[in-house]
Amino acid sequence: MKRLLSFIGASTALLFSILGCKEDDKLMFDDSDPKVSFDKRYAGTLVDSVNYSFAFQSKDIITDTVQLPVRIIGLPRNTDRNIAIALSAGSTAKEGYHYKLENMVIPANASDGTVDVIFFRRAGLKDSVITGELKIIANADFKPGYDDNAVSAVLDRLTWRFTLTDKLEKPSIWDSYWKNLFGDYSNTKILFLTELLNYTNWNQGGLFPQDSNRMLAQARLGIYEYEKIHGPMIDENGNRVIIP
Amino acid sequence: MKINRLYYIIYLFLVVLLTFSCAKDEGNYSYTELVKVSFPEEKSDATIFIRQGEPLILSPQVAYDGDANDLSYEWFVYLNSASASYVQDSVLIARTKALNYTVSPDIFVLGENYKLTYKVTNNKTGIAAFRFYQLAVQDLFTQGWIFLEDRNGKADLSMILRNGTLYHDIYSGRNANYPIANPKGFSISPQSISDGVAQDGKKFYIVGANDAIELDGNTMKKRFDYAYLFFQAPASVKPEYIAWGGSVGNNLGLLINDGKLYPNMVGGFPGAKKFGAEMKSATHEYDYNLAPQHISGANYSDTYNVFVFDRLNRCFYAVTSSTMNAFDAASQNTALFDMNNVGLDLIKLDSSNVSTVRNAVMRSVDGTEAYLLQFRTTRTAAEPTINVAKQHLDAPGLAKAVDLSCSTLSPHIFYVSDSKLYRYEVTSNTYTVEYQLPSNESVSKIKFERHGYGQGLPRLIVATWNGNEGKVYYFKVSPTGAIQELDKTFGGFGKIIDLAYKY
Repeated sequence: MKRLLSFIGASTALLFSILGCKEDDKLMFDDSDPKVSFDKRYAGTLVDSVNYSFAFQSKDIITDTVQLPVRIIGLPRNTDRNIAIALSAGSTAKEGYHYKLENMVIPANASDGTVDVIFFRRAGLKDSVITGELKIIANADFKPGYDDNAVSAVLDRLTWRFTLTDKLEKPSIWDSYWKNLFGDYSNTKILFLTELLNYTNWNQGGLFPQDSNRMLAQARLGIYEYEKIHGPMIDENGNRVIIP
Repeated sequence: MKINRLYYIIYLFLVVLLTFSCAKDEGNYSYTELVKVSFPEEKSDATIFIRQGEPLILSPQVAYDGDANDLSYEWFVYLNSASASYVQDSVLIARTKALNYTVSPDIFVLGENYKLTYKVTNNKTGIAAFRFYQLAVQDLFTQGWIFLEDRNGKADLSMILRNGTLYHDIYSGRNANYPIANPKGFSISPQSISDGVAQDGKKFYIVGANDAIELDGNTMKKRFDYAYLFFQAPASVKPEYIAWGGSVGNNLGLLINDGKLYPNMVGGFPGAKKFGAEMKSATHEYDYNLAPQHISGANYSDTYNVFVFDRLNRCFYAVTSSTMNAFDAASQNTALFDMNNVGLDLIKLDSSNVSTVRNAVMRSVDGTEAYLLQFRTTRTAAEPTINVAKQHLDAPGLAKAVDLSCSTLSPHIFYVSDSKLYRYEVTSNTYTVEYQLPSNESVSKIKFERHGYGQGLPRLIVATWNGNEGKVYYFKVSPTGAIQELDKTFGGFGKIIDLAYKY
């Protein structure tokens, strides 16, 4: 009996030892559930949200396009895959009238795509600002991906917001950014600078020093030459336009 | 019984084994002295200039007391330019004790810097000793004075290398399809400039009356035309001066076109940097006219990094990357002179024998009297104002001098008048005639070279023109400022307009 128990014990130990030698399956990514989100790795105001104004464009510009980078979680496939983006409730923008979305695909064999948001210059924008919030939603190809906030982004990685207008408005970053260069804001000043510098991207800061220095020098010279011919430039508030 | 005996033997064996393991380790603290490899020659930090296709020969002494057959040798290089990747493989170029290598253009790119490593390995011990060399791949024109000449109304360059070898027709021979009429100036940036437009390195410019170019300092071929130097070229093309001011860490490009300043701000930020738009004077707006000169501060932290002079309003400005500022009342002692209104015309802005003091040699508006204005580049609690001195220069002909040069070792100003080489002493307000040049030669440029003959042994370079030929005189100068002797004379130049030292 004692010998039998010893035999059983030894056999069991040997069996477990043999079973323990089994090779583990490799830990591989499960690609059965692909997801997509806005690519905000280099998030600034441009990729996180856009305040777009046609007011700085010439009259013949009636559409403009902003591109939204998107990136998938999962492996590339050999066919194009669609992305679904919906307008959130509460938005005042109307799809197909104020804007439309194109190129909502992740191309075959790619991990990234670029969605085009095409804005339309409508008459009503002259005296109003409309807003839109775009959200990535699930479809047959993708579920919504990361819903956290990328570094320096205000919105999560499934959301992108825009405002659209044709009304001349003080850019939201004027006081924090442009005022250091060009002084106090006025509509007259920004229209003058837009034409002089051939620059329209007033809602975005972060210029490199050589570019901001050049723009400032051009602006100073421009207002000087204007005044030589026309005298002081007076803004809509009755103040002289000064570039410090 | 038999099994018990077997257990007994095993236990006894283990006890004996345990007892052995308790033996005290006495340690072994005697070291074997390894025979080391060393390099008895003093290490040199000097850059070795090499040329593609030419031999690079190095025979460093190796000291080793053992069998020489124990040693193996490797020579390998890697790119050592500012823009080089931190992650790069070295290239093995030889496995010999002495290096005799033909510089391959497949490995060594013209204009780049490389670090050459000599590795000597003791194969018995595996220990290696290293010696490093700095290499710079250059064309013929490695180090020396470059002279801008007017040859029949067109710009050309000549160069005198450090060893005295003279080359003429450098520009015309390489840029026959791009002549520059009526040459006005030539400059080399004191520091390497990283502008995101061209290869990092020193900037070379030739300025003519109606055109200017950036030159590739290695090939001596035109790199960029004038308009390309700007973000937006000025409507009126009248280049007068292109140079780089400031000091390490705050280099500022200075381009004067038609008397107006166009700055170029560079730094560690991305993007292309070029000359920007016309700069505004804080006091005279655009109603100014700059002299084609500047003088820089000594250090990054100086109060004022770049000074320029306004010919129209007869004042100095302190230049920053975005403005030309007047000098604060608090920074001035106007009892000496007023930087914002000197009331004199500028002859020359130059350094002085005090590192933080700059000289402005001026003439009265009627052109008859000469003055020296001295000012500091920085303010301190002990010296809160920058004005140092203003003195009338009792120096014959100085007010009419075409050019002059201030010593950076002694309080002297060198100039030529009526073919006489004068040395004016600032401290005593006296002068001496140091040398008589041929009477048919007039001076076009004069330059004091602080280390012309090595550390603290200066050289004075005088360029003359006799109507047909330009000449260059090298004078040996004592550390105390006396002209010791005429060392060398070089001929065959056109009319020398400007000069700059390439290194």
